[in-house]
Amino acid sequence: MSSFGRMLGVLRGGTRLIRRGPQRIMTRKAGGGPHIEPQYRQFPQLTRNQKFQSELISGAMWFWILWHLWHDPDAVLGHFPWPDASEWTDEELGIPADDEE
Amino acid sequence: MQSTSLMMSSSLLIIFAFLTTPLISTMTTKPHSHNWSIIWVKNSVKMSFMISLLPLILFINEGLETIITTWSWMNTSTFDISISFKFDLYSVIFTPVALYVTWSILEFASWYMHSDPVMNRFFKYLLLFLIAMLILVTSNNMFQLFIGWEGVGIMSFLLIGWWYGRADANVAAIQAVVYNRVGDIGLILFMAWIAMNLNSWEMNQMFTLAENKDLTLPLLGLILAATGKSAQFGLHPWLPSAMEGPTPVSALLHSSTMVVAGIFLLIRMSPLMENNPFILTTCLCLGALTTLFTAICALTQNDIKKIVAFSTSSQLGLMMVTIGLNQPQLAFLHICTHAFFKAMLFLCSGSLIHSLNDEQDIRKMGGMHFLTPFTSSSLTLGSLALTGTPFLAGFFSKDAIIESMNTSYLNAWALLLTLIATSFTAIYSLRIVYFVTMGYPRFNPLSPINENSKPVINPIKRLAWGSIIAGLIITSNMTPMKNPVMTMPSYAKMAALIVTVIGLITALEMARNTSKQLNIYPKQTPHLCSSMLGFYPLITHRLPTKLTLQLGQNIASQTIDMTWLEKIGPKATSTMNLPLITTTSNAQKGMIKAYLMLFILTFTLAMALLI
Amino acid sequence: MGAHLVRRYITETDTEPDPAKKFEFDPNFGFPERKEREMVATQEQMNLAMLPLEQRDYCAHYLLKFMKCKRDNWPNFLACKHERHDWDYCEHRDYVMRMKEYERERRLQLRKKRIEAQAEAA
Repeated sequence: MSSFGRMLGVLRGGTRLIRRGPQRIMTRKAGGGPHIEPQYRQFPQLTRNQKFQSELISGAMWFWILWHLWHDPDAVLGHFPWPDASEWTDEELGIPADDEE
Repeated sequence: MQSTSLMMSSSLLIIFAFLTTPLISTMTTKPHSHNWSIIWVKNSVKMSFMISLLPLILFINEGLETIITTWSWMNTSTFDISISFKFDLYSVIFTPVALYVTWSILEFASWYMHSDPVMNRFFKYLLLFLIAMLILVTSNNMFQLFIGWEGVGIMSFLLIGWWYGRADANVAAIQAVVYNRVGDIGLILFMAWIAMNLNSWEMNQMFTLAENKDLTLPLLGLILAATGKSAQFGLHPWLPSAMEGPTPVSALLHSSTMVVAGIFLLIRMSPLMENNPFILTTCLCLGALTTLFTAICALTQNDIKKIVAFSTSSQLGLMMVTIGLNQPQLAFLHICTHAFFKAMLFLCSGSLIHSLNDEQDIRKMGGMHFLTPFTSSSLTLGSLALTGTPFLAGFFSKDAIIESMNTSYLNAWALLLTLIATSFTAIYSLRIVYFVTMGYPRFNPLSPINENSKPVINPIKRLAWGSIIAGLIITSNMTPMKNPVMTMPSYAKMAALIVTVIGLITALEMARNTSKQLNIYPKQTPHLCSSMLGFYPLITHRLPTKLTLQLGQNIASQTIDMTWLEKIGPKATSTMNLPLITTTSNAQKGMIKAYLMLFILTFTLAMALLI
Repeated sequence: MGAHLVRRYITETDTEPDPAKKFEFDPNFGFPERKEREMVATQEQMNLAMLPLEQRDYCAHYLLKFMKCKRDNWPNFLACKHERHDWDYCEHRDYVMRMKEYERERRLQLRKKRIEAQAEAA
């Protein structure tokens, strides 16, 4: 009876081992890549891709601005000319001379 | 038509289902892996964004006006409350924008909050916030809107106080809650008035029923609500304090989504405000005051996040001005474009702060253009968009607002204030760019500078593209609901640009001076006024408490001690009795003559009485 | 804008008309004949297009065309530049007309003042 009990214990331990799987040290990879180590007076580790991306976004911005300025300057400079009120004649506005009534 | 409305509401339901799935998955007791936030939260928000494009496309394609879906929720004998969603231009455009911005911010947060022990909870909070915001935006019912309104408020409290070990963060969180409660009083006043007088919280019914009523009192409540939530002058100090929260929180809540809830409420309620010139003028003046005051405060701040926070407040003031001009659609446009570049500015500053070992002071940055090229480019781009450089996102809304202001004959004072604030925008934006990206490094040599990581670059990149093209896309897809005035003299047309350029030149000149050796001036009053935030927090936070304390001390010392104890109470009794005692005891000298004298005196008195 | 403010508050305070008030003079005064402006878009069309009240002006037919063009060219949101320009131009002409009405009112006020001054002097 005791051997049976012992066997049960072994089995239980075994299943627990199987269920748990190999022990792993949990690594935190939430941020995708690892964070860089602190450096002391080293040149920062820039990549070409990074520089290219920054140039690309700035270039795209300037292209966008200039392209629209070239094709659509109205939005900045005003769509229609402002009429000059002093150029309208009295006839046009329907104003009789002072002595008429 | 039937199928369209079915698709609208079902896609909203799918969005909510997607967003709540991660929340439900946290209900199990099993601890989550650290990837949970990425796999579940970020992806569900991303999927929701993709789905939310469907109603947008449908909406624009079919040229719809409004679709309202209503389910009855509860009925009392006199009052019905229903769950009611509204799909109009505002909710249909704002939902994708909010989801897009949140998606980017969540991805960024997975890098920024990487070492936080309970990052999953952080993501859960952000997600809860997003759900509350979507409820607020899509609701067609004051009750539902109130749920969303309070939901974003409480999530804001939890997220500002995320680093609860710091006293500052706790103070800021409590400040946010208290200021928002002041605003809520206004909203509750409005809702109570509406419920009492119109007997309905459905927006459409409100708008039709309220036509012949004097709405000034409830609308003032509404303005108070917007003032609290959108940090307008008077209730603004919580917004810069809220920068104690983690940067993703600042980016999501305190720049792009939550703080615009107040303005959004006013936009929703604009049919009520349209015919009330008093309310509109109040909005106009309040907005103008806010935009100038907070722009002045931003000028002398040194904390990068505080500058961006104040500029947010300033832009919110501009939106309020637009509400005051009775142009809700323009205000909405500004909300949308502002969300992109302001969220991006915050993400850039978050990236810089993290790279410089949690350094927020712009005086201790510098030269970042060589070290973090992408972040710096985006920072410049965001600042340009904020100042309203032609054809970037900010231009389409900001320029339109200032134009419509120039052509209206409403209030020259408000116009002047807004124009000054616009030029100040250029000044503080240039200040950030100048101190952070240009010049020589002034930071610690032991800084872990690294932006070369996907969760940093991708969100910023996405928002940067958004800040370039979003303005054009949104404006050209919206048919204006008010006829824009196109006829104006060219100086009015260019006013926004001219003041911006003047601001830029002034700022460049002043920034150039910082690199020269100058005499040290003592702190001057205008500078002090600006760097002390106009003494406003000092006056409102310290003065009342000090005055009450002084009053209490006076009461305690004057009334209790001096009056009761000295003049009326025990001391008074003793002083009154003292002369009696002394005369009596002085008479008793042990001399026989005195005793005889007394005896005769009393005897004669007794005899006199008897006779 | 500036000129108006100066005249209104400093130089010609009594004759500069208030834009928020109704004009004093009859629109037909001084003209031999003056036709009323025709509204092109009909009430029914505007109802069908669900135009808000403020947009139901004399340029509404251009707006309707613009909206129709938007709808027809849908995925291409950059398409209707031309229609948009037509609408804007119509609004511009409308605005200039209103400016002329204002200028007319101003000059008539000035004229009235001159006549009164002459009558007093005589």
